[in-house]
Amino acid sequence: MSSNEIPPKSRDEIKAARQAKKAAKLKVNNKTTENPQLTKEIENLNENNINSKPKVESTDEVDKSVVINPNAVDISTSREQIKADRAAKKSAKQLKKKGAADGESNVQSSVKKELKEDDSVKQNEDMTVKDVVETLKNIVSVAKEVNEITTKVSALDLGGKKQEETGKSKAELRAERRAKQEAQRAAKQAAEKKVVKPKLEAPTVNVDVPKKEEKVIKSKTLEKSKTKLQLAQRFNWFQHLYTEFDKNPLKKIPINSNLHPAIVKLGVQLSSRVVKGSNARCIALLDALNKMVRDYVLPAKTEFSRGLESHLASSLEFLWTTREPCASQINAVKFFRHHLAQLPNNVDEFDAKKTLQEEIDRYIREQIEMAGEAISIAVRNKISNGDTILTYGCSSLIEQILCEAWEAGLQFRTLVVGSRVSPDAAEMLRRLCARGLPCTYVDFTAVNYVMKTVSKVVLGAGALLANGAVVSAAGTAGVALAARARNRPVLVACHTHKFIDSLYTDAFMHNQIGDPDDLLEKSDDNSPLKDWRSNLNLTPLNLTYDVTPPCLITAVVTELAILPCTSAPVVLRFKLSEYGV
Amino acid sequence: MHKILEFQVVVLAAGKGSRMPDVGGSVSKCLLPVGPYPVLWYPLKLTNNLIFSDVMIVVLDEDKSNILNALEKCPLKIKYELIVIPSEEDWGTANSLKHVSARINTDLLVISGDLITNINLNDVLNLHRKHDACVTTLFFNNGPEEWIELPGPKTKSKPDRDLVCIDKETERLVFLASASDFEENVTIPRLLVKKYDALSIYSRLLDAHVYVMKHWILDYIVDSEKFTSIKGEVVPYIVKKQLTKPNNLVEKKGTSEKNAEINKGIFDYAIETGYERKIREISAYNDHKHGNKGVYFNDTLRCYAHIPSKNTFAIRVNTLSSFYLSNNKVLSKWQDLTGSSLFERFHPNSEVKTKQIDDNCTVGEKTIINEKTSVKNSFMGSNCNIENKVRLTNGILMNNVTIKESCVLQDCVVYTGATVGTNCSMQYCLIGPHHLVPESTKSNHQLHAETTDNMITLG
Repeated sequence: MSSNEIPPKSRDEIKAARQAKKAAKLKVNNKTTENPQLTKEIENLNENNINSKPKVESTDEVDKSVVINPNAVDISTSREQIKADRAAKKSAKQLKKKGAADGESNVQSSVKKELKEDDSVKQNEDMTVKDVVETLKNIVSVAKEVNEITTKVSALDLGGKKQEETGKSKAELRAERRAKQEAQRAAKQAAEKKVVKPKLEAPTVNVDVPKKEEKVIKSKTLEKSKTKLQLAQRFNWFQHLYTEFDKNPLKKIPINSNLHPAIVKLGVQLSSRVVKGSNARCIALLDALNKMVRDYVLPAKTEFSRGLESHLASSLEFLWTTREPCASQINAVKFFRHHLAQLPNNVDEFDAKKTLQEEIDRYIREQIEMAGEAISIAVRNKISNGDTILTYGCSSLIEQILCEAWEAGLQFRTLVVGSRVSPDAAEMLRRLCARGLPCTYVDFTAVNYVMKTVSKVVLGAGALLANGAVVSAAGTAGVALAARARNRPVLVACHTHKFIDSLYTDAFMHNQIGDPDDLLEKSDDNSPLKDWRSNLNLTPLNLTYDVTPPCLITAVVTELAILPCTSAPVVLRFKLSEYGV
Repeated sequence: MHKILEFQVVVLAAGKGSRMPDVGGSVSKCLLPVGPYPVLWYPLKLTNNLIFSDVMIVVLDEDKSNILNALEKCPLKIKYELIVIPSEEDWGTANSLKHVSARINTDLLVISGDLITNINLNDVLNLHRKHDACVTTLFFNNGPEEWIELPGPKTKSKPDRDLVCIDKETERLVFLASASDFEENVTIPRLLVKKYDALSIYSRLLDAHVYVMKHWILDYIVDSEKFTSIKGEVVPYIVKKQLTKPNNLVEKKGTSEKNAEINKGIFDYAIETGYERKIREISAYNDHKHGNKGVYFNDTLRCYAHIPSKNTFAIRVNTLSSFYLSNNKVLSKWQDLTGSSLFERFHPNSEVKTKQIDDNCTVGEKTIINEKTSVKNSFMGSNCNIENKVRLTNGILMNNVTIKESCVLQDCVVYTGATVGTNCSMQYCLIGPHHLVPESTKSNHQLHAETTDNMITLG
């Protein structure tokens, strides 16, 4: 409401409105026994006046462009209109404000009388009369819309609302908002019937209203879909990730179906997170595939590779419903399929099984075990006596590296950083302590503080992307950032079987949702998060992974060499030639 | 395509009902009627819900034909195979398992033939799979059994109780013993207290006699020859063995091969073929927070017990009270138990002439209910004949029962082939098989049976 642009006539109107306000205030002051609701009412009225001004402006502009000389007849009719409108407005308002005291209406009417007087003063001025008519018409329409909208709000869902709104002009929308606000306030007052401090809401009205409106509608729709309450209580930005944390597929596992028992067992273990960590998941998958191959019986008149391939496809389909595959699993499957396809057409069933099982064993031995040893040696060479090594979360590879370095006689101290949500770091600490390493455990919040004492940061990885970014347990990026801030070298230990040729730069696009209940402090009965399922405005989000950008990583230690992150595509190309894919 | 079975199901239905009152004559427990079907039908239905394709049922020799007949009349979609064990020898459950062991080549699901429940067995199986357990059991925590006035002479039956000790967080079963083994004090191994910070000890759980077992346990049972009962001996033994460490394999190899074979302990059966151990070691999962032991405390043997939520319905029909109670409740829980509504409460071949029969009744095949009778809340088997002016409340009539004119029977159980003479008035009575109750008998809380020449009065 930029007052500069308001033409003088509307300025007069403002003055009139102010006078009305003053008079009303005086009256209110006289009636001190009556509660401050009245003043609020009056403010409402004032708001109405103020809010109606933009429309006045607009009509002014229109009128300016088209010069109109309304004659006496027009004026008289317009007066009649005004009166009629006022009556309508009053009745509407009184209906709305059932909770309001009788005195209020007196005040209202008095205010309106003064308004009337103001109007009559301005009658001569042709345009203002028209303007007043317009504003009053607006008010009437507002009063009507109040009823409409109160009914609509209760009945309509979001979609319908939007459709309706798109069909309206800005002015209408504004009026509507105001109407809604009034409706809400009336409802509030009716409900409270208490002394409420007059709030200075006038300037924030336009900001407030749409929010409230949304909330009302939201809660309505949520009530409707109470059955889908779980569905609604999902974080909007991560809507696309919520697929896996349904435990329902487990309840429906058909018993003695075509799936191999080892596959079913692995599915249960994956979804219940008994098998976690990318290496463990990879080995577990290969082990299950191994058993599946061992027990596979070739149907008659089928080529071995084709028959097993279809069996494999259905098994994997089941497994991925229990938990999304990680990079190491995807690569393991790629490898397995490659060898399955390599089998000659007329291969003997026994030989084929033997070949595949040997290949699986070889993969585990070469890609995981021996590679782990190579990485361990490479990192060990970078650790010197008296170092303090910081690590985050639990990684089987880091455990192996540190334990072997310790057994090789290096003297260093380990700082294990963990977050409250995941018990992994505590498990890492337990394993290191069991091997006799001197360890310190700090919470994630203390990373910055301890970083100055740290000489090297060694991190595990879930996957290494083609752009050199590292996907790892949530929090890794924070640790890497803290290390960069203190200029400490960050080494990421990663098998090459975890390199994957996909690309993403943030943790939003690709991630996994963990169990939201893990966020709760289970020992604390008064945890504010305890009843989050019944609170619709509360959505706990437990992300499993984050993405550490390559600029925060000093080097990646693989079994091939110690590489800069940017060499990831080279490794990928090398792997591809190895698979022959 | 050839299926690789994950579990094979054995239903043990060779119980003689030793906890039931002795009414003379033989009544096999699995053929007691609960609602319109025999008890045995319910566990079969339970496995049917899980799409188990075929089931082995262990039955007594003498009952085989009866059971076959009874099951033929029930709606069942599964293939079942009756395996006969001799009725003269008193075989335990472990003996029965040994008997069928030759047919079993996968992991095993053992279900008692007298279990009526609406639980989804998948929960138990998932617990088993999740931890790669060797034995997983099922207990119900439904509070004490409801007290109802029972027919028959009043007895002070003391139910068998088990002491069950479970780690609440992981559902691991760490201690299992019969309460009757202890006088006043219960000694719990110190190691348990060391291992777990919170253990729940239950004494009033209902053991469902559902066991999920690894195949090698069956091998062990067969080879060791010292077990007769699964519940009483095998499971407590394995639960106890969880605490002991396996003997060092290297040492054993040092001794002569003959010795090794004789000393073959349970740990020699628990051999993992794949990478299970390595996976457990490198997976970041751990089931306990304290101490420096690895996952599962590095135990090879792991037993788990699933306790479903309190509102699951579960009854084992092994005592008179549970038999009576199950009949009381079965119709109201029908939808839960079977997943379908009961269409035929009255068998199409039955003749129900009276109108005074309420919705809580079932009538079997070829049963005739004459006019002017009033039947409430009662279950009638097949070939029964209920004559005029009979009032029947809360009764259970098995097959071939005749009730003569003007009888009033309240809360009675009438066994197969019995006849109640005219003008009798009986309350809370048990009438044994093929017994003939003389005319105008009036009795309360009594057992009428052929065991003695006349009726005996105990109450």
